[in-house]
Amino acid sequence: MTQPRWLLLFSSMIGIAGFVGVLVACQASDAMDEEGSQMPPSYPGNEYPSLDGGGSGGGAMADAALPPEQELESEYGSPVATERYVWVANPVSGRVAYVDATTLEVRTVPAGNSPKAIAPVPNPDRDTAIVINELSGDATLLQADDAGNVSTTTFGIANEANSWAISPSGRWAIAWANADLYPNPNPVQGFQDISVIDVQTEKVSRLSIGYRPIAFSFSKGEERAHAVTQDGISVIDLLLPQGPSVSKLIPTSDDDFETSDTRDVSITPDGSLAFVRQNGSQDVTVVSLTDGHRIRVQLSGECTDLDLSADGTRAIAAIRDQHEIAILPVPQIATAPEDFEVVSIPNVTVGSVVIAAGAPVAFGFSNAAVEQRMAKIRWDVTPIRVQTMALHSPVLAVFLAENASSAIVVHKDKNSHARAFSALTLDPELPAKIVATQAEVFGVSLTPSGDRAVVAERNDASKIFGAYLVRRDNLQIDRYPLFSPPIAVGTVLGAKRAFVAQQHPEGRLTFIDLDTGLSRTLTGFELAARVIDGSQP
Amino acid sequence: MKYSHAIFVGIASITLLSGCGDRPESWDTPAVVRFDKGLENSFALIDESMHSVHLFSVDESLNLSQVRKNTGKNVVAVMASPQADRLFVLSKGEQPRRKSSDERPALWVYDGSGSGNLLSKYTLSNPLDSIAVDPEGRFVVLYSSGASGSFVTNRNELLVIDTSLPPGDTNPLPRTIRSFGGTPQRLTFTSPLNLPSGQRRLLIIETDQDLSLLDLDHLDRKEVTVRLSNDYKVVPAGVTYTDGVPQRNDDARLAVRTTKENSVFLLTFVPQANASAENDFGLTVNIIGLTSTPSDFAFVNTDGGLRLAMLEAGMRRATLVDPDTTTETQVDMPASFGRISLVTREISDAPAGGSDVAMLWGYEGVAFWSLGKSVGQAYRSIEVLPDIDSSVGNVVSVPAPNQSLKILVPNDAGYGGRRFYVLNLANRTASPLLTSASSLSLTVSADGQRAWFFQRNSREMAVVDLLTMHPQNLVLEQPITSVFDIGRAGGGRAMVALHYQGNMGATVVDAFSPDEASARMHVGLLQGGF
Repeated sequence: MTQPRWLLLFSSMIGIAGFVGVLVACQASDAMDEEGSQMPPSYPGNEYPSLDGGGSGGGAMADAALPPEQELESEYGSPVATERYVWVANPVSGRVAYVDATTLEVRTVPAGNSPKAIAPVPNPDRDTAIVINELSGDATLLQADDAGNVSTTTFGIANEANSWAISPSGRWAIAWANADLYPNPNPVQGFQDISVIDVQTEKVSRLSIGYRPIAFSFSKGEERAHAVTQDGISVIDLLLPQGPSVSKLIPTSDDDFETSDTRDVSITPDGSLAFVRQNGSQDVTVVSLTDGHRIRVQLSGECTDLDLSADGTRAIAAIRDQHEIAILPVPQIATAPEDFEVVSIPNVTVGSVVIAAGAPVAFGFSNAAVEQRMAKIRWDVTPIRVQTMALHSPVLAVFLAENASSAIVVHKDKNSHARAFSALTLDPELPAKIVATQAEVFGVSLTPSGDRAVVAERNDASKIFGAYLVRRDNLQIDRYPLFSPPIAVGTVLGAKRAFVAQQHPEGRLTFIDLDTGLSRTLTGFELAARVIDGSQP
Repeated sequence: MKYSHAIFVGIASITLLSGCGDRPESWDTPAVVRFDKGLENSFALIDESMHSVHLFSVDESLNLSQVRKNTGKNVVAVMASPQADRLFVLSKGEQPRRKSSDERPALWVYDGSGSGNLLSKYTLSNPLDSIAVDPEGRFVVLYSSGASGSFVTNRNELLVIDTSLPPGDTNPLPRTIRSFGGTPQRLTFTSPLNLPSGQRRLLIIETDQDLSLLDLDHLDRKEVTVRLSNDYKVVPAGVTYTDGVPQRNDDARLAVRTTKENSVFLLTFVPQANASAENDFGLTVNIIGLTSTPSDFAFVNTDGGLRLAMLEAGMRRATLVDPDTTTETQVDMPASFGRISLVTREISDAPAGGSDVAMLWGYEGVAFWSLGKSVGQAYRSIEVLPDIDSSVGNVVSVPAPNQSLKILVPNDAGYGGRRFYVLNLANRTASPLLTSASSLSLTVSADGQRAWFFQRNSREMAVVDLLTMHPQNLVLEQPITSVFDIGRAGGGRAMVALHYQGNMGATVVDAFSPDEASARMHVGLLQGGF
């Protein structure tokens, strides 16, 4: 699997907030249908096993008939949390509410006109977030002091920006326009303007990059930022005396006219290499971001997914048709393209790969096939260990704790609805515990240690909303009914609480204590600002 | 039935005097009575043609003693104090005022114990037409309903009168609440609340889009306004409040339900964080989600602690919400009730540990909800009264010593609409009583012994002895407009049935031994002060 867009965005957030928060853009969600969000391909004629295990569960489907793997994880939104606070923007009121996850005190602070996209900014001294004000064409940096008072700094930014890329240190914040978030954008809308904010010096640089950026990454020392665009990879030098500047565009293909919208690009954490995968191709292109040199790595079959390990030492490619995975050593593969290891996994169709952020463990599975199993791959041992894990329903998506001690597997039913999940304890390995949900699984969040997970469910038609708290050690799973649709889940480790953000006109967050399981719902963040002492202007 | 002798003398006198010289203006001015009110030991009629209040008391022989007092011109509202010991008359005065001697608007306060003395007169600068009276009897708030007809009306202006103090420069105290477009719809006076800054009584002002709180102990301070929404589409439909645990000063709360929202606003009183604010209490606001609009709610003490109990119209369930965590517990109900009243103090078997018992009533009968089991064993907490199968439209409380009795008045349109019940909370029995009346009016005696049932503009009435449930039917000679049960001079009590006939009449009956044969019929009560 290529480095998914969310991961590029998330890589910094995981370190800040200490969580992995992910949302499943449920394929069957009625609300998603109505909102016109991306829908997965339908599967006419395919008979999917029911959740009671009535299906074949094997890997015997004709590979040629399989549709492409779905990058469901990349559809997941991000809960916005810092060490102490959960931040919520209200575009209607122009305010940002910040909730102290320890005391659950809610405060608000004015931002600009229509604040929407908000992101946490790493800052060891102060909880910091930054928000794009869509209608006023600016961004507001919000910094909380120890007393919980927030100071704001406003930056003028390019229009159309709707997304953030934040450097791991928190020095750089890049506001950019993600075309995917615009409904039916006109082809002449290039979304090529970005604003690079130096949070340290509070200076803004407006730059132009390639056509329709998809994702951003930063080099290890944050000397450069890389923008993956449909034209190629734009390299932004950040530390020039005159300020950030775009230094070059590195093509990711030999053919300038090749269709680029099926191309997935992953960039190594140090920013030295990019791995390019394209649907239908059995080649992986390794691009040097230093000199633009391209190397082609030829696999035994179509590469259906490619993921980079968090430490940047491995790239794992799924070769679904061959029931193989290829483990590419990084950076050696850039100079020795034939020198990589291939592991055969005959009894599991591996079309997608998910890698633990902090452990040499990956899961291989297919959400295009109908299989009640997946493969656990461990590559820090010789020979590489592959273990088949039995599940009780076909796999839709897999979420792996940072240390690979636990995982949540989202299952699909015969209509490809995410109506069940399994909780897996991997250390020690215990049988997967499957839970039939009352609505489609919508979001999953695991703590980095993997001891807790929160799974949100949502069905707008039946108005069934809920969240599950999963305890790893005894696989105790408790459901919490919600009264409004969840939109994001996450955890605030500093407060030992998970939160489920919900769709509500006044804003709603349900906090779940990770130790006691006690929940508390806060609704109406704006109401605090609407309590007016008559003596005040 | 006996007619008042004085009346006969009066009629004869009229005949004799009618042709003799000048006579008082009142003789030629027909009485105009729109307001009557029963008080502790008297009843009052407001004769607007003569701008007078007539207070009548009843002696041992069921005769009436009358005191006539001047009152303001253009009376717009009349109310009794909660203890029925005072009468409040709100007048507009002469509008427009052409001369300095023209009367100003005023609130007139009369003694209701029998003397009829004018206790106070609070003069107003502008006419207002609505009164809200503090349940503890201290404050009266005057405001405009918007129907005063004035050229300009400030509907957000409240005149707060401390009736324990004489009129003065700051009594009445005009207060215009900050408005974002709304106007006051309902006023609620709280009992003393233990707030972080001390004990306070508050005036809760529900407008048609937000909520304001006025500190009644510091009327010099501005109000606190809570805007319930940005788009002003949220309309308050009622409030309930709690002081929380008596030993704590950080758990007083106020809940607001609305007309359409599937949620309840929960306000918690907290220390004031804003040093420059006048008020020494702050508020945090939370919203509790429900699946439909709550029809009624109340703070209740349960085995799990304080909860906000909410009922939803048409739903066979109740929801208990922990105000600290907003964790919800749903309790299945055997029927849909819609209304909730706490009856803990009125029952004999209240749960140990201070938990409450609630009476649920409304659409589908009546049930008791023991909140001592509501969290741990919710399924065992409901006790339905099987005998009551009709829709209950109103519950009338009975004063001490029979406070364990409640009179359930059916909805006229409901099944069994002509059946009402006297519910005994002590043994949880319901005595059904049938009436042939199509609509009932009801007066419960202040001594808690009797309930008088009558149908307006009908001559029929009945009294039910609330101890024996024995009904006694009476047929009076004139159609009944109002019924009062008042204390008699020298002891005992009397029932007074008012007849809006001629110059007003009244039938007076010994309330302890009601009998048409011994009733006294008084006519011409406002016979020109003769």
